[in-house]
Amino acid sequence: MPERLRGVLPLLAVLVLALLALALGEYDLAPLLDPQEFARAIGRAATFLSAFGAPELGSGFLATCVRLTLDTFAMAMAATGIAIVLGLALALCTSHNVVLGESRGARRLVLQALCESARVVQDILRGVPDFAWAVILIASLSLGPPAGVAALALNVSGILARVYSELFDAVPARLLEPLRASGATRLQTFCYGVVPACGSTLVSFTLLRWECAVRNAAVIGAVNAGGLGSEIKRSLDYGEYSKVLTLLACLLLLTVGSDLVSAFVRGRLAQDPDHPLARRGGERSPGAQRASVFLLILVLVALWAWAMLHCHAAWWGNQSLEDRWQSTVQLFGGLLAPDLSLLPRAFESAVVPLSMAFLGTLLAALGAAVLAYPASATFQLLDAGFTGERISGARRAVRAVLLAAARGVAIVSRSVPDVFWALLLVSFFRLGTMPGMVALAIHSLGLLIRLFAEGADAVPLRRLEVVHAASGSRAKTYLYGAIPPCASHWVANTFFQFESNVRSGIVLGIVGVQGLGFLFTATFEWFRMDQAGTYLLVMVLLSLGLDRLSRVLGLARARIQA
Amino acid sequence: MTTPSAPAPALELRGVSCAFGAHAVFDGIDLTIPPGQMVALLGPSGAGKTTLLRILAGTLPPGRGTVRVLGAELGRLSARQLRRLRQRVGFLYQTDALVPGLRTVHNVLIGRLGHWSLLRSLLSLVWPQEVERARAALAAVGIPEKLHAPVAALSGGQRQRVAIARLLAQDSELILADEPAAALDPRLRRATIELLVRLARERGRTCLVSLHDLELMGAGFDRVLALRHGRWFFDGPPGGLDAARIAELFAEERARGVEPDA
Repeated sequence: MPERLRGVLPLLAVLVLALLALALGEYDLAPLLDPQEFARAIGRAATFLSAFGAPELGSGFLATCVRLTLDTFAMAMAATGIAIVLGLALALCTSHNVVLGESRGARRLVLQALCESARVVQDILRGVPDFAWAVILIASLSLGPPAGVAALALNVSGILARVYSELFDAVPARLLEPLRASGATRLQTFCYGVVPACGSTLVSFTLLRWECAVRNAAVIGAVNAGGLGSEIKRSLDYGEYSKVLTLLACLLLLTVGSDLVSAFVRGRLAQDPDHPLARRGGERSPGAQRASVFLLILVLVALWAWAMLHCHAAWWGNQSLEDRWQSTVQLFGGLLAPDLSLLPRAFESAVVPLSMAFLGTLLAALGAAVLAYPASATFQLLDAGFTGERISGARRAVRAVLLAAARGVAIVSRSVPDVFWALLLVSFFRLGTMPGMVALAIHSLGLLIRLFAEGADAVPLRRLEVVHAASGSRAKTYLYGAIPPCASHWVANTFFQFESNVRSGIVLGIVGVQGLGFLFTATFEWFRMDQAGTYLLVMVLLSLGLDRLSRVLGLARARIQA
Repeated sequence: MTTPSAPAPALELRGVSCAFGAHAVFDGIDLTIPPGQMVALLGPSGAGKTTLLRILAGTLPPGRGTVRVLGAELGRLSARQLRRLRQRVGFLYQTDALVPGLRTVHNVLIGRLGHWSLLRSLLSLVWPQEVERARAALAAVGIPEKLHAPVAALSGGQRQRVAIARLLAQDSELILADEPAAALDPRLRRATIELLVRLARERGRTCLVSLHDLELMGAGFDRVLALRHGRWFFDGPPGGLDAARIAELFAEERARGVEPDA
């Protein structure tokens, strides 16, 4: 019965891939399988953790912490600001809806070629992880925040450009036809057709990336790009564990804070007015609305300007501009002439980040599908809306605790950057691919729980009511009423996370795990630019391949409800 | 009304009142529906048809009075007992009955969830359980070939048939339907209601169907109930509601410029 296999085949495919990844990733499973090894690993981790002791709270050091936190925040703000402008510009060049419009014939072919070449630029920016950009830019420009900002900005603009252009292209043609028919120009069609259709989704994606930029700004310092990361790395190297604790607390404060701010803003962008989670209260007048949007933009621009100036101060180091230009040209000249004989080996080294990303993302997605249930407000607190049952105060309290716990797990696991999870796990597993994979899984788990729970919370209650009436159980209603409508969205988000984890897998190599990233940094530090260039090429090809694969599989993350 | 030897009624209301704020929807109404009866519920919009069905479904507690469904008094049931009872009652909604993203077979099998454990429900998403039952239910509603079709590929009429197939799979003793054909093409309405009534009668189920379309009274019902101003305006066989009474029933709606579908 081949029809019956339809539900099984995708699972089988994933299982086979997972086994393959497990076999190729050279994972050290001993600490998990052998009880003796497990006890030893626990001992190692306990020794490592107990070394931290009490956090350093001297007023001088606290002042440094505040300065570094501000540095990190400024790096993220400045980088996101640049990335929005650059990303938007690139997205406009790569979106078929915007560039091609209704043009025909030779003109269309020329425009299409332009689109495709801009897409390659997009892939290069996105495919080279921010850490790799930082390694390159620090060597060519300078140490410290400016290089960090530039590195983050390049990578984030590649990611934003792709998401933006996907969003622009997801606007259905039938929404744009009336505009085009009435003679609107490309710009007008964009402003009055494309932007209104995808505006709020666009802002929401940008906020998610901003959060991510804050986290990455905090760790990119590990390769001497300034901010909290540099200091954490230095304190770890010198064994000043009490300082590490204080710095980590600052980092968490920053990442959790930006997470909450972004959650608040994205909550206000929620669209379905019938949903119990939607904003209540009267409509504000258009004038007041316009004024508040204007004010918000003003504040954001001011913040960005401050951030740029803040990072700028460190820019004028002891090197002249001409020297920097010279060294940059030299460096890129080397990188752009890759040693192609190395290509097979470079591809082989890509197996490690691919394997870590696949298993890590898979574990995270499975965990998130389960934990999104306790983390969903609809299923824990607002279920009376579809069950019609009133529950006792005590049960309500239990569910509120469950909800808070699930969301707490999610926010902690995503607020600690994957690089730090890896550093912590190394004490348990020892250096290798295992801590890297588990770190990716933990970090992605936090991100996916939030996205999955948001999806489940957006399902109309009426639909859940139908399933609950027949099944009589909240859990079964979640399985049959909430998951299926979200499934394609979840899968797309998971694939997006996988792509992002491939880059993170490379970064974990840069900070010492293994594989592609490790080889890139090693050859770069030995000034073997031709070899480093080969590894860079593979990074770009990897992201290009995954991007085209997601397009073929129809996994575009952007979706417009019309 | 019921003699001691007669079977317990499928539905029984005694002095049921319900109000939203100061606006009284019903004021002390009674109703008895014996098992196996096919009943149409008529009335102008706002007469309280949906409210009545929601009270019978237990999703809306009545202000006063007692409601008995399949012999159980709703007000006295615990949440668990209420859930058990609901599995014996099938609901048919106007729209949105099917879950998008689930294939037809799973949408029909949602009717089985009340009979399955959580684990079996999960397994069924990967390896469909009791497929023969789903196939039989779809055959009964005339679309056996749609067993594995995605919901998005079904027409409006086919969707409502799948929803009916789900009721058959659920094996419910009582079917409550809230204007199940209102969202359909006028040509499909009669066929859908006739199908529902015929299948329910063949299986000896009790059926209460609210309608806004007068012509559908003739789709095989035993009894017609009409609500107006929160009271029974008519209770009798379909033939008993003549043109003059219909005009009176819908007089206010007509004065507002709304014609009942006929």
